[in-house]
Amino acid sequence: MRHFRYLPRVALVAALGVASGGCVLVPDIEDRIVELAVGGTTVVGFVTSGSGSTIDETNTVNILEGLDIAQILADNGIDVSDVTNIALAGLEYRVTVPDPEATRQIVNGTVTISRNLGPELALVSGFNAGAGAATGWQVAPLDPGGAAVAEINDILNTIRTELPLSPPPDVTTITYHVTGGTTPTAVPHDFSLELKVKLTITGTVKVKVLN
Amino acid sequence: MTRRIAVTLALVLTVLAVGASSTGAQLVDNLGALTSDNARKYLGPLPDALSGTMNAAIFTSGKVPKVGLDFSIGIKAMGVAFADEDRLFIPTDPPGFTSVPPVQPVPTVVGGSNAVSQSGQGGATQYYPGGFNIGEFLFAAPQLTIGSVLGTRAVLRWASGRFGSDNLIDKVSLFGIGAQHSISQYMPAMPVDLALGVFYQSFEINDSLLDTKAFHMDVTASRSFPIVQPYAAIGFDSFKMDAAYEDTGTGTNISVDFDRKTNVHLTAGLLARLAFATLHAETNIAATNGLAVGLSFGR
Repeated sequence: MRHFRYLPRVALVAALGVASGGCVLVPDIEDRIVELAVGGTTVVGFVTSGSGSTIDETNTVNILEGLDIAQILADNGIDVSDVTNIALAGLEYRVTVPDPEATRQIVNGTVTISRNLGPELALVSGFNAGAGAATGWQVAPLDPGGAAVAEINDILNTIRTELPLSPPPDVTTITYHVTGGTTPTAVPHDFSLELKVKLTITGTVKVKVLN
Repeated sequence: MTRRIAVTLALVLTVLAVGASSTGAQLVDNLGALTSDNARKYLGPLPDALSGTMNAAIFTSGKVPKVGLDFSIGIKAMGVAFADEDRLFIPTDPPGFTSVPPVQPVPTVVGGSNAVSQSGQGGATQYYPGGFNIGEFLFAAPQLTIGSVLGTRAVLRWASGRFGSDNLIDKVSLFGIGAQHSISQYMPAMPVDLALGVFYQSFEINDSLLDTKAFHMDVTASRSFPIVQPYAAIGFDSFKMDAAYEDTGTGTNISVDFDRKTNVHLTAGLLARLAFATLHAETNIAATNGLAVGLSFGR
């Protein structure tokens, strides 16, 4: 009878041990540093109007005006001191005010950026799109050279290292230049576009997991 | 002795609540950066793990009295181990991003905790979140059994927890209901006790972040000895999981429907009736093979 008293405990331990490959499972709480990835966006709008066969618009924007990185981080539970990477993930565009001419097309458009009177770097190239009707967000083709993306990533990295403060405006201000052809040429063009800059951000958080 | 067991039980429940709270709060953050297709892959190891654990340790005996009071309450703890191939997946490019080779495998929810970057055309970068670096998945549930009427007893599981507004996930709820009916009452000459059981469970995190439905049916055979009672079961599991979350980049709501999974479920276990409690341990061959143990009070 004495042997039977211990049999359940022996059986329990044996079953656990056998089924876990000889290693008895004992759950415990462990700390983990997990690197989250979150998305963020900033939108730049511009209006183009005129006559003839070309588009040529230049404007200057501060990247931080439409981008609240601190809020993005707060929404995702990441402390600003724990941000590890910020980079450009892609660009999208949409027609917000369509051209009166329904067949309006942008042909071989380009978007360049420059900073602090530096050289113009191609961000978007070979851009063809209809502008005669409002659209949802569409993918804008990044220039294969990637020089402008590298420049933007450099700005984003500066922003990251300055968090929770902001870098001086001259660091985060860029001039963008939109050029390209448009058809039909016989009718003046007048439409508005928005360009959405998509960011990918990583940061670490400490969590407790049961393992 | 009873007090020691009660303290241990409370500790286990506390541990589970803490684990669910912290992990769950960050899970929604990790999902928020993923498209629905990649979220399905990121969470890919969970359906089998949840099915393998939720559908375990429900019926631990084929002996169901024909009439009379048959009541027990206790806790069941089920665990499965993840395989190496559960830790990584190949992501699908999100809209507007075209990866350039080599395409990096990235962590699933149970994979490594570091984010992984993928280079894209035009110098773009896409980061994928890290996982929680979990080797085993544990699931625990309180269970109430009450009977018997016409050789049938009811089985209930229920648990609910709120973890506070500082967690993005603040609610976890589990509800399960089923019954077990004696077959051996119709065949008194059988050398073993035999019963047919069915059980349905719903497990939700934050109402809809993870919404799972599990159905289990089995035939359990057992034979009673003075203290121990070995048992075995052959059954069938059906499991459905859906996820819903907000894309942190666009603010849009994303729903992810996982395919319903069905599988055969085989169980072998040993139950021991002590003076003050009943213990059992079992192994399961199911959606994911695993272990389960239980402690209950009553008769």
